[in-house]
Amino acid sequence: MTLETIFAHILRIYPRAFRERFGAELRALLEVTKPSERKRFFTDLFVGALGERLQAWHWIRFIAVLGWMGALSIGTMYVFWNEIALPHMLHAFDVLVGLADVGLLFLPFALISRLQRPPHFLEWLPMIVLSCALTFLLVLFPAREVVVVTQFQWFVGNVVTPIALGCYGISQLRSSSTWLKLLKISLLGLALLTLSWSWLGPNEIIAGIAPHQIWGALRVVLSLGVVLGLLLGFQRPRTSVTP
Amino acid sequence: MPRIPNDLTPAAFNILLSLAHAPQHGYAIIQSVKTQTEGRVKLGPGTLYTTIKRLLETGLIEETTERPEDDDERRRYYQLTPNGRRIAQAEAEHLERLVNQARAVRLLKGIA
Repeated sequence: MTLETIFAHILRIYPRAFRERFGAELRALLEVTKPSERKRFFTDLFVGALGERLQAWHWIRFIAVLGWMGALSIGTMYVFWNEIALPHMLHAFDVLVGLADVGLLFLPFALISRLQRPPHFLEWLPMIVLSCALTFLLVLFPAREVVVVTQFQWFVGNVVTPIALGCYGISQLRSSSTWLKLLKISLLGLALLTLSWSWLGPNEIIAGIAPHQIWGALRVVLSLGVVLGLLLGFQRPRTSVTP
Repeated sequence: MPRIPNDLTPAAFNILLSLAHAPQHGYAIIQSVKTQTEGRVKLGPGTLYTTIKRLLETGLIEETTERPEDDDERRRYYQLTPNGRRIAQAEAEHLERLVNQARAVRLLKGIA
């Protein structure tokens, strides 16, 4: 896929009104730009497209999307009522994990809309993966025990999410202070531990503690790492000026 | 003194500054911002056109029909409106006061 094709796809993300007004101009600009510079434009165009798309959304549309996800969740729970293990679903710890998932779903969007500097590739890619993965988790949270979706959910929950959370948290922490370096290493370690646990670990590593509880604890810790990373990311000057 | 919009970002001010001299199209604005900041600010097309959109909406810049004859027809030229010029001037004065303060506390060399 050439850079031109990628740009053409990104331009389609912009709202129709924006494309009609600035589309031809944007293409003309990209045509006269040096190839080395064009590579730098990739993230800027993508973030601009997401920002415009989000701003074009009326608040009613946000409510509609949330309502749609809520309806899908309730519908799934209703259809698969017998297969869902309610006591497990209503376990306090799971509710906490679920809340962390739901909260994190909105953080990437909040970050994208607030950034004024072009984020690095390591920042926006995990953001997108994260939001997709968490949307999936949000929709399926009430139906954790449904057999049909278990495999896919397992993959998203145990592979995609930790990678996304870990990468994103790490990419946000660039300070040179020692404790932040330690935090980076811890986050990476946790992400790797979670992955290896998912792939290779025994069913019960510690007697008396169910695997999903350990996994849930790791996810909560990783989530906190991401939140911390986001907060630290917001502290940086929001400008594209390089010193 | 005109009221400076709260969302006058560094990118927006740089665009106003580059249009203060003469009407320009998008690519020329990018080049001019790069030159006027000695290469420290490199606007991307996403930032440029989303900012131009806001500046058009707030009436700080406008499209002009004046253009060279043999230019690419897809290009559009933008110029400052009288209000845009006033806002840019007010922001420049605000920055000047900040620089003077920096001189006063000896962050910069020179007479405050």
